[in-house]
Amino acid sequence: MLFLIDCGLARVLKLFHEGCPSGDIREMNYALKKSSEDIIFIGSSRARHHFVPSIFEDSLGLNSYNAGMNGKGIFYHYCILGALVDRRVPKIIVLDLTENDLITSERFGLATLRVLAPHYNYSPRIDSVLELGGWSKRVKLQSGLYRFNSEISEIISGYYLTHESQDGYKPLRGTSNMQLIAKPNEDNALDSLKLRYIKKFFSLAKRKGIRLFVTLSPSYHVSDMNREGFKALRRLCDEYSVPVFDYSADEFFLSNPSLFKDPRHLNHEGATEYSRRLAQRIGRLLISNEAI
Amino acid sequence: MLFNSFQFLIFFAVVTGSFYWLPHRYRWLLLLVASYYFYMNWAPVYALLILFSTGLTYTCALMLEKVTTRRIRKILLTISIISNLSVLFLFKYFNFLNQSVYEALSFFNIRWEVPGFSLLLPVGISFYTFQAVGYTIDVYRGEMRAERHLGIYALFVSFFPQLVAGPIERAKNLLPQFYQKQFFDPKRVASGLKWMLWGLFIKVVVADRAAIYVDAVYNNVDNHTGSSFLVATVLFAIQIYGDFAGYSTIAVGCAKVLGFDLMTNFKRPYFAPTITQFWRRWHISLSTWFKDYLYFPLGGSRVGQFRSYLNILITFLISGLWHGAKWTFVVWGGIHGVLLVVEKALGAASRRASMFGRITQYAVCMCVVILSWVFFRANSLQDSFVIVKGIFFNVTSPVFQDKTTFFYLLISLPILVVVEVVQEFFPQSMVYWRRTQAFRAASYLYLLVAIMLVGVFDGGQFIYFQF
Repeated sequence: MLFLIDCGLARVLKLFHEGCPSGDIREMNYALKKSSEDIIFIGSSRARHHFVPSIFEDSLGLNSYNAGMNGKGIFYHYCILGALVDRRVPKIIVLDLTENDLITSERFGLATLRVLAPHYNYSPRIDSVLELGGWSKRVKLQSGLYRFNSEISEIISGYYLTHESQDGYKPLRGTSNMQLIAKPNEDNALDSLKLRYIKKFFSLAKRKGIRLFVTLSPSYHVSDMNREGFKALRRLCDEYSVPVFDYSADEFFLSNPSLFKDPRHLNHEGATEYSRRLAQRIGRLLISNEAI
Repeated sequence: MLFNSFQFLIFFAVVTGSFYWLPHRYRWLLLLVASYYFYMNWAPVYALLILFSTGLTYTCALMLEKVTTRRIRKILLTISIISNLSVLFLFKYFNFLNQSVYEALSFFNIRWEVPGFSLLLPVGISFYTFQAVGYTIDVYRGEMRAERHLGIYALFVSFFPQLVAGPIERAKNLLPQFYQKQFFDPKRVASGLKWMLWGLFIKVVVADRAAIYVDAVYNNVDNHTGSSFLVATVLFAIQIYGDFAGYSTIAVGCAKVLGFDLMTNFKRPYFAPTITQFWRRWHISLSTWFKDYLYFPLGGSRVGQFRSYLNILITFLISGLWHGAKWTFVVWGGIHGVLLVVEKALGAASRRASMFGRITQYAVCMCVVILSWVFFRANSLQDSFVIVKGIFFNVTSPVFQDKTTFFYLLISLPILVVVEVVQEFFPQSMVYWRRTQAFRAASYLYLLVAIMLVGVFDGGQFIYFQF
């Protein structure tokens, strides 16, 4: 009887989950199962709030979709890429990374993959990432109800609340009083599993012939670019010949605090400016095919 | 291996199955091996500490029975207590004392630095140490005979359901049970499983959910204001109760499945009308331990009034320190000690109040207890003063909203509240619930579904493991 209840309730939840009309679940489902745009932006909240698809469409003549998702790291990004290439290979992927994608940290760890659990058994690549938690995780995922753990609030939110979104891009409005300070140095070691998945991401994109660009978005603090995380990222990008657009210490953005909603996120004006500049650079690269 | 982990589920199923399959004479050995396996999942080397405590207290107790000279018996008891508490002191309090002395001397410009230890606090050391010491004292007092079977005694010290976070069992209660032959009783096993289910619900659905908000505020005090502090403090009161009572309930349930009865550790403490009553309902095994083994030896209330109040204060200051090696815990213990002294002085605990008076008592007691939790949870004394100041002087500021957490608490917390209210004020109505099979089945099903859908997994540690 428990098995029947587990399966039955899970089926009902799955119906609601897949039909969710707005919010994070809708955006994620679209990215995983429906998106067919030429340019896909992938990353955490910094991608989601920073890349305006309409600007890239106007500039490059290619339709685009922002698949960024708050609080998600390279494990999630790899799953998105995996689902994309299984359906229709995009021409360009812009991957926004942060230091948390490389260092040991609870941020962007395996626990953030919980949102993908409802898609267990959809794709072998997604399953392999979800099962990284070990054999016990694999057993727990056999439960239909467990896959929807902590998802009910998001499902309800998707049906009853309005979520502003422009092809996945979520604009942030306003600004706040900020002081330019040095970001405290965190001496976290490199996370070998995260690094492995960045390599897998790069490798998969390369195999599928996708033009991949890595971005380090603007942030309103002074970062020490000599930290191990950034060094490791550059080494990887060199190894896979992935162009890096590094705006993390860009003078223009550092001298315009009004373009930021908070030290880590641009507001809509900032995102518009950033997208415009990035689109121009990508356009030039596509035309000239020169390395940066 | 946490109670709310999948590994524990497998472990417990295997141990229970093997327990009832094995002949009675081998069951103590199975439980002993299982208990050590359970403990060594955290850090194998720390099993040596339990072995040390077990061997020392076992030997001391046997010698206490053989020796009749009062002076030598006292020496044996002292050796047992000091040796056990020294280990506890080394792992838990040395660095704290070292740091405190250094800071105190620095105030007078005296620089005297003693290197600290980098030692991981062994899980449950405060619990099994107290359990073993309590046993030695009971033998010394002649309240029970020394246990001769080393294996059974070792099992008493390391019994896995209550090893890492209590209840702190008395040897008189638990030891004899290991000699009784346990038969598989489906009703008792079902009852134990229901206890475990309820404990898991209040732990992973209520406590761990509340913890998300509490951690966000208490770990980031500079970026929050009075109203958020107030909400977080109330939620912490829920979190610590759900966490600790949840663990104890699971422990009792586990033991019940195996045929053993552990003591009840919580009796709806937030419905206590006075602080005195609160401590008869909260962490009962610890408060009775301190009463029997510290407060009474100090003289209890049999001495003069002033001395009696001092004994209460000392007991609660040490109780606070038991909870953690930080001044915040000492202050928390001190607050409760002072409140108890005030109650005793005013005779408030025994006074019969009118209906309005009783309601006021409940409300005041609950508010005071909840506010005292600020010191228990805050990361430092400085943070605790900021939080208290914010609660009293800035409570109209906008509250930090975590809609997801609030939503899940809205659908889970009322269940806990209703159950507690019914058990406290309308216990007769429980008969109806017990008789209606459909209602009972639906309740258990709801708990199971709630745990699967709303429970916080992948990271929800029990608070009291830090002790």
